[in-house]
Amino acid sequence: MIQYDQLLNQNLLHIKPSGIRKFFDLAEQMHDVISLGVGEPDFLTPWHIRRAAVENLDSGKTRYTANAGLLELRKEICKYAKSNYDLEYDYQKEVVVTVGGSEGIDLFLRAVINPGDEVIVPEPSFVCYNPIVSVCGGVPVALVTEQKDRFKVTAQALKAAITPKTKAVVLPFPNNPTGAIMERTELEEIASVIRDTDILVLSDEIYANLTYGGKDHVSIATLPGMKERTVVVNGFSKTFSMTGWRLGYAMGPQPIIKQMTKLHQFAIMSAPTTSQYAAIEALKNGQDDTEQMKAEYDYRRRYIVNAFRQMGLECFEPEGAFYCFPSIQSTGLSSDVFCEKLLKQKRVAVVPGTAFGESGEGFIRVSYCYSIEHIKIALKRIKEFLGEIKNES
Amino acid sequence: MKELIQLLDAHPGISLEEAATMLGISKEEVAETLDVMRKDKIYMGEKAIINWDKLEEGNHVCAFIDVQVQPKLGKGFDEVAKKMSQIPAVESCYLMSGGYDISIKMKGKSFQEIALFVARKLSAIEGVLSTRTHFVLKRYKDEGILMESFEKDDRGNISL
Repeated sequence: MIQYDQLLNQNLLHIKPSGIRKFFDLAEQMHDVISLGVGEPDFLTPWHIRRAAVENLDSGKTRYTANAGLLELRKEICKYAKSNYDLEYDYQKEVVVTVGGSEGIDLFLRAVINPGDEVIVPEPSFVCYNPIVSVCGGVPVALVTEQKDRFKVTAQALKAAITPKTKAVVLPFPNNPTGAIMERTELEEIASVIRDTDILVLSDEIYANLTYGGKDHVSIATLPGMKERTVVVNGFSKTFSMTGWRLGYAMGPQPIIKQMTKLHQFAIMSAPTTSQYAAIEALKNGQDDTEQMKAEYDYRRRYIVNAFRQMGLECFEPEGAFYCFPSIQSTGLSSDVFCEKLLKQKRVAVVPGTAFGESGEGFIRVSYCYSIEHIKIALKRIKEFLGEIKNES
Repeated sequence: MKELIQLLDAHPGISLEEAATMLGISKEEVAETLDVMRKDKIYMGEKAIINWDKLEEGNHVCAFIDVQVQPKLGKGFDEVAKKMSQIPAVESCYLMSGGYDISIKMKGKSFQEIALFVARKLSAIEGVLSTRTHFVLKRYKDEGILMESFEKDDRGNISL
């Protein structure tokens, strides 16, 4: 009999599957579950973008594109990055169109990591960085962000995490799951730690257009001396509600983008052609849609944060993305137990903070990618649940 | 005011408290702005959208009527349009560009009721030159709301 465990990539074999997934598997077996768990926009892709895709298909645009993506799309991406975030890149040499922002992250990490290299990853954060670092033979180093710092990366903590082996720092802001953002002054402090080193930055800016309270997103690549060491990853999934289209992009210094494009060329060929045409339409004419969606997320954000606070749960004010991250420490339950009980007793699915790293203990991630009506029902059940567990103890 | 209008447009029927929370302002501020908007005839109220086709007792017919009108010196179409707007069965009344002048949307219990109303009442209004009545056979979407929702939450079980 084949001993598969011995044949498989040992680095991969020892990676645990995502904690979010495990939890949803449980939820899926139950009836009448109302979820605040999904980190995916509830809005459909705006109609005109869907239409553009269909028209391009109809006119026979069915072949591969250039490896790095359609030239027109890369031009539009650079225009968008310049006008929205003051990021300047050469569309011919410094951009690669990827299969979602996720591929951009994967390409970057695989392009730069040599075995033994350390990559600093803030925690709690999106679940993809550590596994990819590990598969590459790198070592993920957790940089814990805390509620008292509004879940921001501090220069002090970053300094403490840096060793001679540090290859790169991931900056996933606006952050999933905390909703934290990094403002200019805070980024400047981070930049001052990194600027005179050989450390690279992977700035995952997939939620860049979703910041609230008039605080516009700032990319660390716009700070002096940072562009040359930063790769910015973004995409169409969250901004334009285009998750299923699988389209993103990475922008950065030519020597890195060149290697990433090489890898992309061998592994992927080119991102889906229809999606690329749709993305051109999104960038050219999607501004009104994104503003409308953002306004709606903002209504829900205020509503849901207020509701949790009224229930007596401490809830950090998220300033970006579409999640809130209330603390459940006052209940005395662990995140896992809280979520499992809530699911079983009240049929509400939220994600335990621990799915995003150990430091997520004591928190739950609540997504507001749902209609207000849906959110109201779920919140009502959570409120009842809090009453019940109070009586139990 | 602009923010409140956008919110009410997206979420009609929410309470003052909810509106205040969702906009991050005080309840009093919402109430005040709403009062001003009512006074200035900016905020005209809210109306339920009913899918009448779903009701068995139904007998609910809707028609669009294109009306050609002889405009009056100095008054244009206003006088006739205001007269028509007084009729309770007239749901909407608009002055139009294009091939006719006034568009009317009306409700009735039967095709016949509407047809007779047009022939006897509407056509008899002074200044009306001609009418064309179009009956609604099936409603797919009203006021931005799909009568049959094609969407359902099909978001997959995915690890993000």
